[in-house]
Amino acid sequence: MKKSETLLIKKKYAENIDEYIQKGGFLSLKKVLGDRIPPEKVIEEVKKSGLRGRGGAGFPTGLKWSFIPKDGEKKFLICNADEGEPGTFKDREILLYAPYLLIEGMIISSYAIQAEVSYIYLRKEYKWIYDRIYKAIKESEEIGFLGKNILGSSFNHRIKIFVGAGAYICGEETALLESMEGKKGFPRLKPPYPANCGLFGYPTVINNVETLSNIPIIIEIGGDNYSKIGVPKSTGTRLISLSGIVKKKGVYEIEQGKITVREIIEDLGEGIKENYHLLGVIPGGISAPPLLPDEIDITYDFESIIEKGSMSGSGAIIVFGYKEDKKRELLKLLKSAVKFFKEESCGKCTPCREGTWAINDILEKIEKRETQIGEGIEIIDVLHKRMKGLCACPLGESCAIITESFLKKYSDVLK
Amino acid sequence: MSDSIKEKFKEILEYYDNNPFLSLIPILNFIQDEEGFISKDKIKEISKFLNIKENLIYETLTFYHFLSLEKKEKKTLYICKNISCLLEGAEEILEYLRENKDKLNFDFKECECIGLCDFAPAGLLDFKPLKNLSIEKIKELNEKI
Ligand code: SF4
Ligand code: FES
Repeated sequence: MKKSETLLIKKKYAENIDEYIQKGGFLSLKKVLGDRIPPEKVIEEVKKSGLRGRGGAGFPTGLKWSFIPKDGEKKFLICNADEGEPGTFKDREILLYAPYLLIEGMIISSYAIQAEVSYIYLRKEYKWIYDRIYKAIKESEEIGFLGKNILGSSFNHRIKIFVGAGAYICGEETALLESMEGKKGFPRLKPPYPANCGLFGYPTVINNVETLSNIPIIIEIGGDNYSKIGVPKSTGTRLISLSGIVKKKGVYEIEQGKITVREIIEDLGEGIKENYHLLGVIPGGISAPPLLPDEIDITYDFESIIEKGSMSGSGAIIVFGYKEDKKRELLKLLKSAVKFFKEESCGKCTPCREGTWAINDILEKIEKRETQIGEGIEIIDVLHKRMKGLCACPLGESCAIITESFLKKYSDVLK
Repeated sequence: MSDSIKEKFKEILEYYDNNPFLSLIPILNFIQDEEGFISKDKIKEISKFLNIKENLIYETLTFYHFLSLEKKEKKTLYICKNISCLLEGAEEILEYLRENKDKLNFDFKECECIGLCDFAPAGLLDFKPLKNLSIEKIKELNEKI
């Protein structure tokens, strides 16, 4: 049983613009601009599709767009290509192999919110992909899909690339805005939301790479048909980044709600590597609490994973375990996760800035067996309460949540 | 400021629709990539060119991992030490690097996930990917640099 590979997005992989056009590329853009479909209709179609953001939060995309005021002189669309959630590399695949799909998605999305300029915020770690995207934009300009009066319409559009300088927090959309404005990446207090007050104060939509790449597909098959793919609350396909102790790591496209986490590991990942024992699975990047081996017979979609107390986040599935009898190595993994949060905390909010250090200390004490696991959990719980609702973004809280969850679920292993 | 750098600054500013704030990080990135660090003199020049106060430039610059005020003699190899890379032996590679520090023709730094977890353990040199690293590969690299 292979429930993956060439569903929607992967069908649009193309070496160059001609190949993309041969595969039906830019037909959606032609449909929107050629048939003079009004922007509101495009938003309506995306709402009907049920598409939810693929960056982490899973917010409905059409709804996000509808918050953009209709009037006003300037609006922006930003493509968030700053995937930094450890374990995540699926947007890399789109940027490398389907940049035209992304570009088409960006033009249609910009048209929907009437933005004349859009930006791709590319993480510096992906600087080696810059030329690929730059070339794809140039090719699109030369053919006339970008520029003035696209396809004879009154719509003008340009796409520019902005390369970050290394900061996980800039994947958070308001930190990303700050960074583009030349500042350090401190998340903003919300409200106001970017839809009202975004880049340089103008209404702005920020969408993830994969989210935007779904737009041409929605236009192509229609929002209603798209909503029938997957399950009602998690429509469409998803690109997942599979890594860790599986035999075949990589990016897979799955239909949401139709394949279980175990099947993903066994059928797509071809199972656990030899000599390894499975300890668990992180289903959505390291901000997502782990699932035990007996919890992975759930389908992969937003809701099923939330029901199990975790989240599908950025679609990063990290399968972890140990070799020989080195069970306690798990602590190393957990420590690396906590260190990540500690180092990437931007420092704006005290509970997060101090709390992530405190959690790190607790783990070190647990490692040296100076602190009991139960005691550690209690302290982290207190720290967690001090963060909840008191921070500008979820980073600090994620650190507390995953540490607590690991300590609880693996207290035997970590003893 | 040399003419070629000034040209490049102008080019960047133009690309970003003459918005000095939008151009700041791209200009800092450019200097960092060219010179391996951002000198105090360069900050003065950037400040004058963009008309952004120096203290604001420092504030931005010191926030990001890949911008640096310190001059480095050698190239920096970034090694990911996050979870998927740890599971594939990143720790052994880092240990080797730490032990052989004096013999290395490059500097190395631990970094967080660089989006190459399917090629773990992974690293970056000059912002180009190094996939499926091993101690052997590191030795080879050391000879080439
Ligand atoms: S919660 Fe942490 S990372 Fe988020 S804004 Fe506050 S200090 Fe920064
Ligand atoms: S965890 Fe090392 S590249 Fe992602």
